[in-house]
Amino acid sequence: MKKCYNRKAIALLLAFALLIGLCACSSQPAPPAGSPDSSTVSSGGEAPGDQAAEGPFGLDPNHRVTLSCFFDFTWYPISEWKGIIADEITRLTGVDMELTIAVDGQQLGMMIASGDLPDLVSSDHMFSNLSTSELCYDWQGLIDEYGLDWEISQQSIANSLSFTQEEEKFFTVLSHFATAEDWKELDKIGVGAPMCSSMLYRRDLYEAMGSPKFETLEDVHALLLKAKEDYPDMRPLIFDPVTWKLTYFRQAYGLGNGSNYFVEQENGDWLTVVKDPRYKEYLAYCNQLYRDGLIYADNFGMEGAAAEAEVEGGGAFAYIIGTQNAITPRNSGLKQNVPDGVLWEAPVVGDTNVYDASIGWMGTFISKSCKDPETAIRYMQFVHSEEGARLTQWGREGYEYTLDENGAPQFSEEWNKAVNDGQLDEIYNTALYQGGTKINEAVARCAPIDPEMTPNYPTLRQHFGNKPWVKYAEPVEGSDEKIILDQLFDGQSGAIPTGEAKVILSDTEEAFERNFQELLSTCESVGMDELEAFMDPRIKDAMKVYGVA
Amino acid sequence: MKKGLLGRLWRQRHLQGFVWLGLVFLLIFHYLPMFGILIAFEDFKISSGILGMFTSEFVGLKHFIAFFTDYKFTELLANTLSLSVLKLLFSFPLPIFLALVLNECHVSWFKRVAQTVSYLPYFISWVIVAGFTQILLTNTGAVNDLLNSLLGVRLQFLTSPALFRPLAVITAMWKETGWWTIIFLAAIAGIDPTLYEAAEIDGASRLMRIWRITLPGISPTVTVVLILALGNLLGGGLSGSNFEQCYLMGNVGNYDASEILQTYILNIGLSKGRFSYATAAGLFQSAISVLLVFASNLVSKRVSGEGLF
Repeated sequence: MKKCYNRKAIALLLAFALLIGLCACSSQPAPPAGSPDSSTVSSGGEAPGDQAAEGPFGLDPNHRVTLSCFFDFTWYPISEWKGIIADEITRLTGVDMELTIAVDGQQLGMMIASGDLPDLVSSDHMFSNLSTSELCYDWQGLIDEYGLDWEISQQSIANSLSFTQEEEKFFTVLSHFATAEDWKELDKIGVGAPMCSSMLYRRDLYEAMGSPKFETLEDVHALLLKAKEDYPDMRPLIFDPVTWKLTYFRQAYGLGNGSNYFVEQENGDWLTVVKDPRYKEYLAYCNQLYRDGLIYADNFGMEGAAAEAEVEGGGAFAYIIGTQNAITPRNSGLKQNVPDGVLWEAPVVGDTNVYDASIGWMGTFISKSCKDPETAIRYMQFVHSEEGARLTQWGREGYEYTLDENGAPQFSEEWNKAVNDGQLDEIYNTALYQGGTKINEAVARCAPIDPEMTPNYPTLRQHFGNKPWVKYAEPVEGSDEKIILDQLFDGQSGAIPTGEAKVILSDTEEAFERNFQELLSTCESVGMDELEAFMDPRIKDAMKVYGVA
Repeated sequence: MKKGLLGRLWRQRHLQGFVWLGLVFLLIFHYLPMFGILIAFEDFKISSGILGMFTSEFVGLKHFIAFFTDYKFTELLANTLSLSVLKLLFSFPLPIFLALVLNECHVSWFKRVAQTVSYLPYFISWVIVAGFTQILLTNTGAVNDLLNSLLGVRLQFLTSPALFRPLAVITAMWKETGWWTIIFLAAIAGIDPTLYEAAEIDGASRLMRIWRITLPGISPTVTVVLILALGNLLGGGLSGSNFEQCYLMGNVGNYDASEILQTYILNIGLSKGRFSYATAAGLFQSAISVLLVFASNLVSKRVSGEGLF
């Protein structure tokens, strides 16, 4: 009798487990209302789940290839090849991956030293070390060998040649590269903005203050003073202490973001940024904010998460961070603590020529130990194509998004919910950044945001410029000039970031002047003039490579 | 029965097992890596692999000269030395004092509680300590709120170079004192109790007993600990916590005081792939430490007759 009960209990448990399993299987977001049925899905024409009959760019979906890949990013949000986008890539191409995520910043160096590289290496540094035939395949060689129909843009090739160890051979194509023209093109669909610094501010409090004028740097100063007066328990302004710092103001003075180490002068020469007269004006403005009690010194010693917590807890009126992916999570966090609170992005003030010096971000290298270099290069062609870039950043057309009449993606409710819940990577996995441009990423990040909350984006799209030639001209790893560059600009302990903080935190005008002169003399003792003499002709030559001089 | 050295070793084989395991550990993790010192005199590139340390171009003292002429060298050395000396001055006597106080305390429950409370912080990682420090000492943190309500001031604990060293010394004392107290309490426990009884009969006061019996009784331990602490002076003395504190609590606001040799080696050397330069800087620091061990041992032998070797 007891045995009979046991069997029944086991049968019930099994049935319950099966039911749970079925529920779990069906938790994948359904196609959005009004989306095309499976026969009209663009990605191969099959419904998700069915194996594609024919893969893009000569990839065979029926031939499963597992490539090992090292992602050299300790912060990487995913650790496994899973999620809707990863599954779809595998369905279309037959490729899946065994991922290894870096545990620290030195790991890739050790892997190179030991010669033990996986099939693919994706990183945002050590490009030069990897750009050698001893370690990796040159892409043009693979394209020719396997007869790929792939013409890579001259700008992308120029970017990769800037760090190669072998003349005329490029070993990767960097993802996330976009030109000023690309951003202007984006204006047609009216979504997204380049990644640059932005200032979020409490719109609810701003309106309660009578919506004062907010157009110039002076207006920002006056607004923060009023916020301090009206809300004395709040920090008037807090900034992300790690990445963006006070870059919103730096941009407003026409100096670009923090990676712009050299600034073009009217006569066409390139000066180290600290020598540009606008740099001192920018520091003076920030120093005035400090001396007026609008920014606090402890902000420089905070972790990024502490600043976020302060904003979400309702403890700050304004917050300097980046465009695109900061406003949504901060608003979600704020809502939980201050139900009526809402953050908007501030208008672009000051000099509207915001710019960057980027040659791209992630480089994926096909190592000499790659078990299937043909599949690897075809896969790279796929992720760098418009189709692949859209899939990796936007998901499946007809399911995660549909295109409106302007060509802007309209994302599904499930997608937008995942964005708001911070579950985008977990469910969809948009972290497969090996291909694609900054445009695809920006559109994906910005499409779910209410455009009213980001009035700065149209201006940024129109006035954003990229100057990749500055990055292109940078000295190579191991050279004496690179050592000087690092000693000047290294984010952790470079002479300029540390000196800059000291200047901003000066208590008096005299101290400001003294600290600024000390910063200049420190830079000179590090070798600023020597580096400038090296960089100026190199940047001018690089401009010719990009066809701008 | 085997005789001679082999026979002795065989009889002690179980104990010898422990010794040899320890020696193998030392050999693998402390002596073999010393070959790496070679790269301080070479232009080593990580892409040349481990064997590159034997094949890279020899450049003599190039990296040492680069380090000594680095624009930050003087500041780094001054920061490292001042922080280390301050920590030694304040954190070395404190465990001895606490051990003496606890030894004189005859309320056993209080003694046990005090001992436990004082050594618990030792088990908290510096990452956690730094995190709590940041929460408590931020401009709007509990400590500044208290200061503001009492004195109407707020201090920039986290970003002021002037306050970094006191902060580092106080947190090191709080975290490490209890642990080292145990060492000195153990040394005190080893003193022959009849000495105290005889002193008491002779009418010696409590302070006299501490001065004449306890302190001389633990002086060999104090000497050994002091020499070890001096050997690790640049690393932070007893606690060896200079790197952790400066790395975790240092920021662009207080770098004038918080940037030390070790953090600079990490930031400008290892993080930037300048392994030869980082090794030269590290070797310089090790050489100073070895020098300090020998010097302190010599001084100790001359002054007190006690020494480590």
